[in-house]
Amino acid sequence: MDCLEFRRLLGSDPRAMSAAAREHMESCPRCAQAFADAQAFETRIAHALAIDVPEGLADRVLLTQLTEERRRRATGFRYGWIALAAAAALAVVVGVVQRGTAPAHSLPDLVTEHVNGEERVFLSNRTPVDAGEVERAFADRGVRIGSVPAGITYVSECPVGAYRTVHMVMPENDKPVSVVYVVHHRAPAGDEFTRGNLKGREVPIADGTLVLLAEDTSRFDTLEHTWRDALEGRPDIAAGSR
Amino acid sequence: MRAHSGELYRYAYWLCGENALAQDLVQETFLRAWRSLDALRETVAAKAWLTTILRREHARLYERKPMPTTDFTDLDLSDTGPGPERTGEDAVMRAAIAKLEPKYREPLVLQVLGGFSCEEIARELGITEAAVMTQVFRARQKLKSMLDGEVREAEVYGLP
Repeated sequence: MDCLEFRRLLGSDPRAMSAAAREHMESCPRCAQAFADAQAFETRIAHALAIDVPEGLADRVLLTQLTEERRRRATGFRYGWIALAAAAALAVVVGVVQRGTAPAHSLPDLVTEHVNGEERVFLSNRTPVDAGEVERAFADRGVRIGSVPAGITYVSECPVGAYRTVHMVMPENDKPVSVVYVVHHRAPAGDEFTRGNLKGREVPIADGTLVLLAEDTSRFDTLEHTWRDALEGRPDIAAGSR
Repeated sequence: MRAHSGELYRYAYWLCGENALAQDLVQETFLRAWRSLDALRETVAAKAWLTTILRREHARLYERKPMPTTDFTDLDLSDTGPGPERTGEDAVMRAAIAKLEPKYREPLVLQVLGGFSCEEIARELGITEAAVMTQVFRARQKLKSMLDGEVREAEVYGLP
């Protein structure tokens, strides 16, 4: 190998030097110096190319992936559940008629279990989701929503037991507040409940039930009014249980 | 995903020149990768596979609408001064890299940032290995020319 060929290889890939190139370098001080200079220049290029990665990018990508997966599974569930839900509904009706009692798992139990089972990454995200995404989730569930409330950092169409829901998170003071709207199932009356360290409120709104769940209930009144406004219209003309 | 997202972001940034667009490209890349995970034959090939998807997503942007000319930050390369700070050196080099034509910049980024061989880059870009070697060689020459100012483009690392 001569110097010209060595320098051409050096310019093409300073890191991938063949045995012949190394042998030439050992016998040619000028090429050895050129190699050292090239490594230094390469380090400068590499350092410049390694720009800062936006903070939280990996988490946001992961959240998008998982949200997408949830949406896909919910779609699959929707069609599978048509047959299953029909059979389940029939069994429930028969059971209720026979026994006059509600299903063994209440809505508060099911929502709490679902929220506790969610990935922590969903609940810790602080980036608001696009309002269009929230509208689409409700539309997929057959629910028309007015103006989308601000501060929603997670939205997913989730099956909760046999119920179809739109599960959202609206954080407050770094703590997640779960807002789960159960479509086409209106609770007979509003109720407050506690499950472990979580406090909840079940509120019939429009054709469904809003379930709020958090460690701190200080925002519950505000959230209830906000969602009643979004789902029923102006709160002063909306009829509700509270 | 966490292992590759940072590298992919950097590659996306050097492809499109915009922070927000680069993040979108990374999101779309992982979404598409997620949907076609069964197409990945071996996990060791994940980086190359993701790079391919990202390049296609970037190309898709140009299909959907004409993109404005990449507008990288343009610094006065002559204004380095004696003993520049590390960040100043990086800024000067970045400006020079940004000024490279895409046909020189892209293979250089794939090689230096991605660690791909010339053979792998050739497969990715759909050109010959010899063409890749020429382009990365010229990329380095152009960078040296911009930074040193005096080097003739034909000069080969100090040879007369």
